[in-house]
Amino acid sequence: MLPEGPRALLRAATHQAFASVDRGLERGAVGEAFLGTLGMSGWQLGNSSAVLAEEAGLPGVPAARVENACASAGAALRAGLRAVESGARDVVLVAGVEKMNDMPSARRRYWLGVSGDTEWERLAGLTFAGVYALMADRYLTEHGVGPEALAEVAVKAHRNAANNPNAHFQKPITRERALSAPRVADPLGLLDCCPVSDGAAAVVLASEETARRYTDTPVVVTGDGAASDRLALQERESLTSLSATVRAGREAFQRAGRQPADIAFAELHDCFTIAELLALEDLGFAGAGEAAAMTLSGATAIGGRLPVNPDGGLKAKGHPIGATGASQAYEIFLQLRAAAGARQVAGAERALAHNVGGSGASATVTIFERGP
Amino acid sequence: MTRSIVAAVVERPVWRSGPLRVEGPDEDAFTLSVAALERLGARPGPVRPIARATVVGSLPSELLPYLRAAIGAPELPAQLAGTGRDALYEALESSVGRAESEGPEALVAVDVAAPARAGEGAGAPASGAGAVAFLVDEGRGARVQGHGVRHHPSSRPPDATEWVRTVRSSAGPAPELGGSLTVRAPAQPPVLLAAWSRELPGLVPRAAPADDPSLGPAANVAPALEILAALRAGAAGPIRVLASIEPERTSYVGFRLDGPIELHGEAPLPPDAPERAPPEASAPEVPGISEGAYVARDRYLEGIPSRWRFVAERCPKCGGLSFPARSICRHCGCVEGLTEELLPREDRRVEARTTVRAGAQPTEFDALTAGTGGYDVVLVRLSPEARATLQGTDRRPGSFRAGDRVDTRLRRLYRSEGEWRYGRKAIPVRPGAAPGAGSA
Repeated sequence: MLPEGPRALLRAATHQAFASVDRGLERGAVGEAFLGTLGMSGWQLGNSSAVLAEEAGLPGVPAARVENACASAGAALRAGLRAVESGARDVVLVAGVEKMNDMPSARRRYWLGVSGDTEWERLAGLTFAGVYALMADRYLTEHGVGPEALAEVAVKAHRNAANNPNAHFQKPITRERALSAPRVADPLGLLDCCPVSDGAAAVVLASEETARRYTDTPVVVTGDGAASDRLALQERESLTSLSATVRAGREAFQRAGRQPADIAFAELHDCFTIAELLALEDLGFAGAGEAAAMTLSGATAIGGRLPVNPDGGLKAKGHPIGATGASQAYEIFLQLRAAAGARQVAGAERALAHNVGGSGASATVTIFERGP
Repeated sequence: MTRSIVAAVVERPVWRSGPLRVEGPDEDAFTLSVAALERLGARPGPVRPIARATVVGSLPSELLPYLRAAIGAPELPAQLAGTGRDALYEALESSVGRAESEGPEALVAVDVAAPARAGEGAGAPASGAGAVAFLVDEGRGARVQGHGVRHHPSSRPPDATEWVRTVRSSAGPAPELGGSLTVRAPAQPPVLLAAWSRELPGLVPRAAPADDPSLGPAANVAPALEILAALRAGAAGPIRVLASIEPERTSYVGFRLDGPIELHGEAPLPPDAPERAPPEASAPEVPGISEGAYVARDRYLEGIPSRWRFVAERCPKCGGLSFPARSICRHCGCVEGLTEELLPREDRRVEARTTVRAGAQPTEFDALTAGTGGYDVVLVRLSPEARATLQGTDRRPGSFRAGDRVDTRLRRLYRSEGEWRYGRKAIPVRPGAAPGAGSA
């Protein structure tokens, strides 16, 4: 039997999402659908949203693909939120999908590269690992820290993923193993990089009034933000901060009327270990240069001050590009309904999801709260 | 004011193969020519724009438009003038003899390593690589006073009067002969020098130095370096003559020297000069579609000013600098009145670096990764407002560090759609590479 393709992944995710609605959801209630996907391998670059409607069992429902590289589903989620918030739709389906392992590795590298700057970064011989390596090199130099904090991000991610049956990696790793892994792009090694994963995720959005018809324990989106930045790293103000994250975070906190200290746990976009350290600082969870010490202290582990990526994150759960933003929302949905099992963050009432496109050219931040 | 050779630049690669200096895996005749021309144009003091360029050497003609683009002169008349000693002499004489109103002219002699003939050590090159750029302009320096070729049987000595006849026919009245005669011959028989001395009274004959062991008998660069050596050495006098004796022919060229030539010599070889990578069987063409670093040809061409020459734009409204130049101010969005500005060459420093290892490269760089185990990429601060992402080269992978000062060179990137794609790369600063390393 052939491995599942994008259609099957979408079918499984959307049908599970519908099945998770406590009092059931009639398909006719869904007014619109948004799909996040890069369309890797070119499986359906044009009109792939129609496939979402087909596989979700929503024939005739307006659907649109939203593409923002690795932040595609985060952007699709925003589109869905706007559709509900505006009153245009009562119920919206947001899904993301990526099938990345159905092509030779050389061709996959092409797809992994298409979302970055080509005229400078690719011509210099960089893929995303190299771009994030430049950020890591600058971060370590600028703040005078060693690679141990990067390794600890990976160790924590694998430990959490071991309790997530949907995670790509299911086994913990040691810091020594992370530090001694083959180098990919100095200072990043193989275990500093997220894997190439297949996957899909889906969430159902509804207006607050409508949601009450379907469940007594909704998860409420109280704020969201998004921003863009220069495509190429060389044109950005800083090499150790993603301004798109900073701006998206500020907007989300402002809209939610919250601040970083209010967040119980976070789903951060850790495509490479350095990305998690940058996100902790850009979102105000740590001061400049302090994320390394924060990570080494255990504060980002489950049970710590701010658990990060209890599902294993992109680093260990996996990073099916177009699905990641939706999978972060899925994890938060489980956690805020106390349904995350062995990786449950105790008493979590408020969480943040952070989804980054490429090396930081776009970002979304969404704040979720347990419904009243 | 007459036209003379007023300046020269010697550009040599740092790569080695045995005793020879050879082009690196990302160098060719085009990149060496561009490097020499750039250094010629980067001389201190007022520099007039080059009005014409001539290349002596095996440069594919389809690269002439790129040569123009590389030096920022898209309308520049550029031509190929053949290969070899006589072609070089001819091109120099033509250039010096052009009307002053035609403006400064650059002439480049360039060689890449020549393969050994069959049976002479497979894979080992027989001659080295380099480029010499001459600047011909108004001013004092060296003027070509005729050149010629005398064919003779190998059993008879060359006839030195041939050069005199050549000079007289090309320069009109007999020139005053008083200076030095440098004779290059496979063996330097004293009797031959004496014979020459008798034929050309007033010239002090001397033997030319043997071939530079790092260059060997490179067809174009070796004669160019002989000219520079002849113009620097020998007794004082207005005429310097260079004769090269081959088994059945002798080439002559004479120069009238009425001022020093500004000579920018090659930089010393760094102690960690890399050995040449194993020669590629053939230039690898990326098979089928590109796998990561594909840039459509039109976009590649469109970006050349910024990628090859670091052209930025200054905004008339907010004064901000935008790099790369994209006809819009990145600070205020202004799209009118932007002026081009070249970013400074001095004090370029590495802000961040990485070494890309196997598996993390776009597939266009597979061959490079396989040959070297990886390559460096550096983010270089070009000015307070501009950075560039550049591949590092001419060093072992992993050698660049944050804070390093670097220079840049145009180099090969990869072959795509039947042609090489070129881009600027970072190289370590070589002490002495800056203009002013010597004068004739």
